[in-house]
Amino acid sequence: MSLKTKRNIQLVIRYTVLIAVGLFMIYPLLWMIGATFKPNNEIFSGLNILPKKATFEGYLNAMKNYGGDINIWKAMLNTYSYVIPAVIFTIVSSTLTAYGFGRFKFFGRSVLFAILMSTLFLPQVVLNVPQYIMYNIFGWVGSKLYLPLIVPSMFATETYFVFMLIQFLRNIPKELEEAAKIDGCNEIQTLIKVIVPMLKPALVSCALFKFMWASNDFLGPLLYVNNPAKYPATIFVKLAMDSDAGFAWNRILSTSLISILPSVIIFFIAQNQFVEGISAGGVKG
Amino acid sequence: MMKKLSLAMAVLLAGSLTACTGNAGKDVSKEAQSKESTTAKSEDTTSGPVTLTFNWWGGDSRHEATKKAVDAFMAKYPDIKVEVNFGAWTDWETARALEFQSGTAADLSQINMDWISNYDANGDTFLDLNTVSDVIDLTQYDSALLDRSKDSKGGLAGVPIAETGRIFYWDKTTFDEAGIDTPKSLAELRAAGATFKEKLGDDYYPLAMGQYDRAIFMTFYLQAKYKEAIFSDEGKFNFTQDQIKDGIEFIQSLEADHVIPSIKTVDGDGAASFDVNEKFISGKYAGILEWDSSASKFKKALGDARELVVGEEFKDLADGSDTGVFTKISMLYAISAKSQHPKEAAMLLNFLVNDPEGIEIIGTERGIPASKVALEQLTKADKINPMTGDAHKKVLEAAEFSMSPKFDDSSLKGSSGLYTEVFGGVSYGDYSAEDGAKMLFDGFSNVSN
Amino acid sequence: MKNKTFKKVLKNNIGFLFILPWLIGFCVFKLYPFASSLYFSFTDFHLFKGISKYTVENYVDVFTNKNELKALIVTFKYAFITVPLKLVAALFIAYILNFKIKGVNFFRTAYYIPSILGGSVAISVLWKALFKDGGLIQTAFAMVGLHAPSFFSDPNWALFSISLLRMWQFGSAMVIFLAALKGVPAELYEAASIDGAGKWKQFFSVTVPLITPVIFYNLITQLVQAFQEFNGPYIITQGGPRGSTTLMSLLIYNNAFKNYQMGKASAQAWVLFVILLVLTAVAFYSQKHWVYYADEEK
Repeated sequence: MSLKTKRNIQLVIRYTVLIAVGLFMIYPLLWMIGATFKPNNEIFSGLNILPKKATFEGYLNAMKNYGGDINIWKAMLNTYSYVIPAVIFTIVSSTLTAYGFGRFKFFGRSVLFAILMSTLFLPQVVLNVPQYIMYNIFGWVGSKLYLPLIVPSMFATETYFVFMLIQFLRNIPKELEEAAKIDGCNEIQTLIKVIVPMLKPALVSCALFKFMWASNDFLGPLLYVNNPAKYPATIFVKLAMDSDAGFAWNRILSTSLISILPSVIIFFIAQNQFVEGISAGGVKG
Repeated sequence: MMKKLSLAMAVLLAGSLTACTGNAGKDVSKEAQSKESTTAKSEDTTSGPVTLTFNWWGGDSRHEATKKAVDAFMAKYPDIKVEVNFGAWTDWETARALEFQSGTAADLSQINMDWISNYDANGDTFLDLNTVSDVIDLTQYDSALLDRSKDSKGGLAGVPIAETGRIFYWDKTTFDEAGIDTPKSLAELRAAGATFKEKLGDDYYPLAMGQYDRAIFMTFYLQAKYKEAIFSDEGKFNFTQDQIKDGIEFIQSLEADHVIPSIKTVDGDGAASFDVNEKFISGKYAGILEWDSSASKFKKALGDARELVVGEEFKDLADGSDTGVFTKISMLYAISAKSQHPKEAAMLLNFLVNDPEGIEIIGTERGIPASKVALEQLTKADKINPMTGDAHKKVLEAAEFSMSPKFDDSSLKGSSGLYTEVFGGVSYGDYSAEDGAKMLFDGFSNVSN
Repeated sequence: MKNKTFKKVLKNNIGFLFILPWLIGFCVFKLYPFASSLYFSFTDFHLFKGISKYTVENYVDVFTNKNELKALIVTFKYAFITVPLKLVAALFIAYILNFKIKGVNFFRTAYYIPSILGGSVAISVLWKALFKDGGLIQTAFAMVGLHAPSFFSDPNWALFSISLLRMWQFGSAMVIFLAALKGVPAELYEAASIDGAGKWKQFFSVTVPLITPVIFYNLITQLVQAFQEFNGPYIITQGGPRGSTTLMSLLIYNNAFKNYQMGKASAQAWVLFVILLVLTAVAFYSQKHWVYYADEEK
């Protein structure tokens, strides 16, 4: 066997594996998209992705109110009404914290930094119950302003992002800041004029991840939102599934698909930032 | 404290921005301020005309009717604004319970009977409605029914909306396919199990029961056989472990005779309840034991293609002609003890149950009304859904006991309760009837007075 | 005079002001709940009935009560099935993608997108449609004349179905591996191939040792996530059948928010936390033996 045939065989094997695994990854999603256009009696009748007889029935039904004064559009509006503030607050507070730890020496820094790092793997599951009790005392449970879902993000509680930004900061040369200092900029001005522009790619990554996580969050709203008119998309989709699981699968799947459409679009627009962000955390750590 | 801190943070940030880049930062501080002001606004809704909150769970038709009734109420009393909050049953109780706990419950709530003992243990969750009896016409209610609606301190925690009990509904279309009549007795039902298996196939069952349905049917059986209520009026548990074992074996015999599908089969359907279960909708499960008030829900689930009929309570569960059937107050309206406007809430309550206009709009959306004036008006106007009316009549005729709220204690009922564990475990073969009886006996004894 | 000292202290510690929001957030949203949870775990705290006694029963129950013990075992099963398989799949695919593959971006996207969406309720709904009785998987089996198991009524298969959902999301770990593999200097491979090492041998003797820090990182994050999985079992199987998919996080949720037993739930959460702590500690301790840091900074 010549080297060339051997190489070709290897190539074929590689592509076969990649395509087979890719199918496993993508087929369910494509099937889901196809199913939203199928009549209910066709959905589970075969493996085809394209509908034999396309219908918008699923989508039309998905627009209807269900389980109270709420439909998928209102639910999505609700979702983003807390996701967007949470993203903004997370970015601002995480940047401040990362800047503080990454660029300054101060009393107790090393101890505090150790604490920060130790919270990186602190499981949320141990905090759910006491946080609930605490928010309840604050009067935040059922808050129409989604306080329990927004306020913590003002205080850099997502350690992962702080950690990621500190990693990025390490790779930014300090010379620029020194130059800014000579120009008479104070620390805050330096942060805004020098650091933030340099950190921009990392900040975009953080924002994207926070956006995805917050829009996918299910347990948070389950605990802290108890008025159906205020339900976010995650809770609404779950309710829609419970109510129609017997027959109207095109409605359920349409509702589900609509609910993740913004995330899918953002993913395709900003894929590279996602990849860079996640790689930075892991590889440079 | 939180607010101050977040504001301080925003100011710090905004200050820094203006220092370095001019005006660009003003938006941020504005945002922080506007957030402040909306917070303040939402806390300040007491001035001006009265605003009430009202919540209920149910299906679409109940939502429509209730919203319409609320609109009519607001038209009648323009100074009172009612904010409604309604949804499906799934996760509803948890959300409300947490509100009762935090004191943020709605002024007026539709509640379940067992909520009184579960969430009003010290009597300060729900308002004693005797305090607003000048607004609510309590004379429309049977005093025995009102007695059952009291909290531990003797206050009237809610106004019963309807009394309800379980009865069989049969998918007549499937029974026709099998060539037999719908069963009127346990013996006929057992025979139907065999006929179904033979004529229609293994996946056809004359009756389908979840874990809670099994607990209820077992109780019918035990109450018929031993002629005693499972819980006395004082809340005392009345059966022995051996008797419970007998009951569990009774349920298992139905499974063995192909009368009901195993829990494993029902789990496999992946549906939260039978009205959304494909096999019920397609007629493979041809019967259910359900609340008389649920008739229209299940009829709607079957659509026009299949005919759902109300069955009979069985008189041959044991020797003699006892049915063992018990009824409970299906729902109540309760006013939060922390309500700022108890009088207005009571007006709304009275409008929904006793006012001719309210009665007319609500109809039988919450079952056959317990209010005498409502029942009379609806009967006269021929507004009672014939199927619901029929089911309700049969239940009341057959009823021998009233169901203690103990039976629905949260440690027993619900997806992580004992009924699920025991009837599921026995059906899956994880427990013997003996094990199951012991667990249930302990569970019942724990909640017994 | 005093003012001047204050200014000086401030000047020297200005960094402290920047981390102040974090410090406050840490105390309020993490430290206090964390500590109070430990306190609750030794009480019989019931949301509606309050605390009536102090007890260690909650902890004893985790290891003696049949259902609680089962949840613990199921959680271990779930984590130890999904994490290794996920890491192996991620590394393997990343390794293949690292060759000069045409359309690498396309494949990377295809593999990564399930990780981005997988945590959403919408995908859990999709999973239910795939695995339910009469769902797509059973249809597929029937088409080739096979009989598929009933995934949601068979205790073994139910856990399998939600495990598969997690494994389906191997993309994020893969992306991290891919970035790490790109960082392995090409000269090393050349050196190895001159020595006559085959592709597989190269992989195990050159590649794997060099990326052990990344393997380590992925291992820890994946473990922490797997031990906390909630959405899948809650939405797809409701913890059933017969508790076979009741993972610890779901058990904790049920105890706390369905049965209102906050004390019990806190104790269960703490057991889970300690388990994670031990696993992480073991991983950290053992990394001396298997994790290779190029600059030996750590």
